Amino acid sequence: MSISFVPSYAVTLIDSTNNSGVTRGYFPPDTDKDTAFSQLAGFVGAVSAITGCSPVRISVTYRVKIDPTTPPVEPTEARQEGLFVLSNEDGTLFSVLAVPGIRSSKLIDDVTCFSGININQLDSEVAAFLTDITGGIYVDPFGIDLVAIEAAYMREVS
Amino acid sequence: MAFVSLPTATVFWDLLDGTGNRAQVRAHVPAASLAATVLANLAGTATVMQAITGCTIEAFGVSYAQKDPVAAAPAADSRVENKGTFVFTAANGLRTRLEVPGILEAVLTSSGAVDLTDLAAIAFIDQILGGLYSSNTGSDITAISAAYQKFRRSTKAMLPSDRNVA
Repeated sequence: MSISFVPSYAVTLIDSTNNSGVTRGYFPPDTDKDTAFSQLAGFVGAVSAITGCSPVRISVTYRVKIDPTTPPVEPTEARQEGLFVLSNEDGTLFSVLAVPGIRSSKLIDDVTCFSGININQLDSEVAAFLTDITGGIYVDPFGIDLVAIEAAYMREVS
Repeated sequence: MAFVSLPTATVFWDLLDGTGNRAQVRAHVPAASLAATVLANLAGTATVMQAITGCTIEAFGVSYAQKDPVAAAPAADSRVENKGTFVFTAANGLRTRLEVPGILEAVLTSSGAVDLTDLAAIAFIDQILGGLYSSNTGSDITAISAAYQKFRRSTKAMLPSDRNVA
């Protein structure tokens, strides 16, 4: 069971000193993104007229809360981050997907120099995750499909 | 103003670890993807992600963005610390607040209230009341109940870069 929040919007404004401020609000449930953006087109015109700032970015966010949540099966800190380096369909660029709190049991645990650092891609749950990412709807920041895993390792962030 | 869609929408999953720290996983999907489709996929990914992370996945979502690459220059004296606060009443009787950075002095009265006879202020309020906007509970916004100026404390980054005299 999950709880869907109402769609929210944010309009980023820049002032004469190049500092930014954001105005935020909400749309009714089930407002689709095209309708939301057409509403915001009118909103930025109206907000421009009452501020001296320039609207530079508008966004619409849909958020779902998982309820009840699934507790972790082993304690891990978020700073132990799993990094998945993925290549796109063109094979031209790599994208990095960072997953906080990678489980220690998903790291290679042997006598090689990569022990405790590299993520075990042969682990069935890691493989399922990678299949979901590379076979799913996910793309790189330029909109090109992510298709293959190139490297997977753990780093600790402070 | 000519807002153009970014090539991708940003998706995210909010994680909570055993020490109470929060973190977020971010990825991208094509901007043309429908929100319902994306959210269904994110729910599936949350399941397989949960299996490899020691964190609890609390929420997920998708954010679509548009930018204006040729935005007009802001007014010379505009400051985001100078905020306009608009308090509206929703259909469920509760109030909802909208804060607008950089409110112009020209739309304020001498007391600091928003001048509700000012044409630009009227147009802005009409935009909210006549548009598809709601409170955070999804209740339709129906009336304006207060509108006034409020100052936000300047952060160090907001102070003038040429403020030092020696």
